[in-house]
Amino acid sequence: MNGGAHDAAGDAPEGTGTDWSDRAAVHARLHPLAPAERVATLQPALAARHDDRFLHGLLGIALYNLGELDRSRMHLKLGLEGAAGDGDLLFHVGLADRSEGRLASALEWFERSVATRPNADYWALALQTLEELDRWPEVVSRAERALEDFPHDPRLAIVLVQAVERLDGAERAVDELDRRDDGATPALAELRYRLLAGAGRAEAAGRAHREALGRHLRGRADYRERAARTLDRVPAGRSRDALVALWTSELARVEAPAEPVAGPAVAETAAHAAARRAAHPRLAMSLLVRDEIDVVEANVRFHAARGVEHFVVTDNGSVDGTREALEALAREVSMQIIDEPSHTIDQDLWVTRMARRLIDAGTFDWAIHNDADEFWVPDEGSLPETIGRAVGGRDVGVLACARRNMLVDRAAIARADYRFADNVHRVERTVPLLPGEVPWNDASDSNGVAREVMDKVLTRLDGLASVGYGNHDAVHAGTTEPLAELTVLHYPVRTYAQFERKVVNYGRSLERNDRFDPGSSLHLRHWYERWRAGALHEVYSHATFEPERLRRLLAEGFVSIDTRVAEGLDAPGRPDAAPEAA
Amino acid sequence: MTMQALARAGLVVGDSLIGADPTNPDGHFEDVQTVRAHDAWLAAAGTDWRHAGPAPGVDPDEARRTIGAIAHRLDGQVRGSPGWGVKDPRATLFVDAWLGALPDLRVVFAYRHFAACADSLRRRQASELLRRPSTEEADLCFWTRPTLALESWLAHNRIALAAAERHPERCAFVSQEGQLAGARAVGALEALWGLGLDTAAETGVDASKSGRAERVELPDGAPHDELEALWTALQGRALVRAPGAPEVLRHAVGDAPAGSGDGVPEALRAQWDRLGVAA
Repeated sequence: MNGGAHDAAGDAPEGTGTDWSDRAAVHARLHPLAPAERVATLQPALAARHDDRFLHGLLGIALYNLGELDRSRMHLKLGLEGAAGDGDLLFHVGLADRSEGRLASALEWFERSVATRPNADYWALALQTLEELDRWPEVVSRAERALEDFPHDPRLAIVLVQAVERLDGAERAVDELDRRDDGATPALAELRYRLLAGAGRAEAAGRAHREALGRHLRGRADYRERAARTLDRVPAGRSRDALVALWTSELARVEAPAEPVAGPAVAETAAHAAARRAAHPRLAMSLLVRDEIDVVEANVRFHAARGVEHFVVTDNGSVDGTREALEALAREVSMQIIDEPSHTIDQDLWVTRMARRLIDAGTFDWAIHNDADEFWVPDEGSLPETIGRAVGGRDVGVLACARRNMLVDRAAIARADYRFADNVHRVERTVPLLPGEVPWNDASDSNGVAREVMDKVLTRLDGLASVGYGNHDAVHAGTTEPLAELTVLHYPVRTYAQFERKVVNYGRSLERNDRFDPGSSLHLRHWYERWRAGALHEVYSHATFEPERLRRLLAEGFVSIDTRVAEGLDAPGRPDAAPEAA
Repeated sequence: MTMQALARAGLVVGDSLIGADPTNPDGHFEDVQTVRAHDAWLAAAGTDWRHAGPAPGVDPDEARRTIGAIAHRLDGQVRGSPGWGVKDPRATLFVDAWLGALPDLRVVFAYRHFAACADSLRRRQASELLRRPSTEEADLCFWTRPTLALESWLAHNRIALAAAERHPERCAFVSQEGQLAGARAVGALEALWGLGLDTAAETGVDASKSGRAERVELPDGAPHDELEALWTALQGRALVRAPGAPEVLRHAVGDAPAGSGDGVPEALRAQWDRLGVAA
């Protein structure tokens, strides 16, 4: 956990082994439990920490899931006294009210949760409640607003189209659906069928439905594998034969696409599919960013070219154009963006939240938990192939990869066309300080950059409970193993402007965070203190290197040359060359 | 089909209905609020719409309150019409609650042959699985438990017949097959109860939209004698009877090994290839 999230005075109840002041540890403890077990676990913890608003909130949610609405509300509201902007707590108070038919009150809570943190689930419930209150014009306006946040969520599109149908009729609703339909979502296809059939256009309805089926199947990269798994669940015999016959005859009525498709696919059984997936798992990446405009696009493109199929990105209130860059990227790569405006650097919670999104999606096997200045470089082949080779079908849950800081060459940074990937000197061993240079903490003899740093992890999604602070470890049902064939190249220092922005952003967020003890993120705290003292230029100077010194460090084996990221950016999609020998 | 005919004859069915889908191009005519209430009661009883046991219980106060709210909503929409009605097959499981909550209520049980009913449920689930492949038991149940649809048919119709035994003057049975063959359920119900329905209205029943199997297979283990006995009892009590029954083939649907074996058969792969589904 990077040492940072633990509180020495965390007074774990005897026998539980849980530090109740450590939110990540609490989440990890509760994650595998059923609601009744969560209540049974939280109540004694609260007896010892009765003012802990965080635990009250968790207990309120667990009680809601047990149907104990009055007690749930009481604890949720106590939780909100400590976190008035916690969308989940606000949402659950709304759910409790809604369960008792108090729709107007529920709606207020849902609206507050949406205002605090845009979330598609919050929106969906707010809109459904508006429907039940028969406030149809508001359903339309609020659904349009919700779709600005989540343009690809079919639930929101369905609500909007149904409200338009109610207000303006089926034909107008079909027009609205044309604007919102991605053409491959079964629920939207069903809605289109109903609208067209309801408008007396039965033939068009049937045709549209068949076309949608074809598009839907073509749009799912794993469709055959999933269908094969379905068939595997039905015992061989007449029942399965009948199911196959129904599928085959329904598909036979679907017109083939106008464009010719590739030749006959290789026949594949479910066993083959499982083996293929083990050798080439589907890989996603979570990315937490704040003001990373100089690296964020390169990061996404680099990893997409190496086999990452989907990105979940949490933007922590960027103001430098990063958020807009992500929007543009989301039109080219598969990406979900979460806005997290709280500048409290609850990094472990946010990364775990992204991981849960990926788990819930059910599409991906592994996830890399990444920062914008980190590039995961496989020695050979793609990232999924590297993972597949390392795991080899075993029950491995976490793979730990060495991380190497990449140093700034002062000659390179002086050039007008400098880019981060010009940092090609890779730290192999901690570089001793020169006379006059200041260590980044009392127990260290390095400058905080030219040093050995902690590994980073990627995780299998099945079995993952939580990701630790800093992405250095994870709570997982599977085993943890090192993965030597994959290196994380880390570019923490680029230009002075970027460095200063990072130090100030982190420093202020750490000040606001009341979860971490002062021993966490020591180098960032140290740099922030130096910035407050007006001495950050000096730190930056010590963290960058003259070419002559880099040559010496290279000769002495403290650094090596690694140009793979630079080459990868110049030729996206091209397999990386092996690292150049030092 | 029956509810569509009743709606065309003037019965108010509410303005929040489950609409058309490819398995039912004319719409399901099920009232959304009623379906939601029944689903909640079933969930509270630890079951769902595929229920295949004795009638599930429901809290009487909750049932009275909810049914009262539905009645109040629909009463407000009647405005000179003969009355209102709601349709939901799940209502059969809670028919005693409905009859108890509304003393003037009449119940129409629309029934169909067990083999046709099971075939329809399996086809619908197959179509859903084609779009959304799943390994969840709930999504596959009619294929992994080939007798489930028949057991559910037995459960629903036993409950219906028992209610009719207790309230013979308030319950009527009309068969889908009879209506598809041209019998007019609205006329028969109007003659029975004098509801003020327009018996001359078009029924909207279109036999071409309802696939009728002449021969249907039953899986091994199907309780054939019980099914036949209950079918006979339904026919004996029906206001609109089925003119006949499909030929029932009693060899196994579920368990006997057949030719295809494991894996994905070539015919299905060929369709995937033709449509460009990624390999």
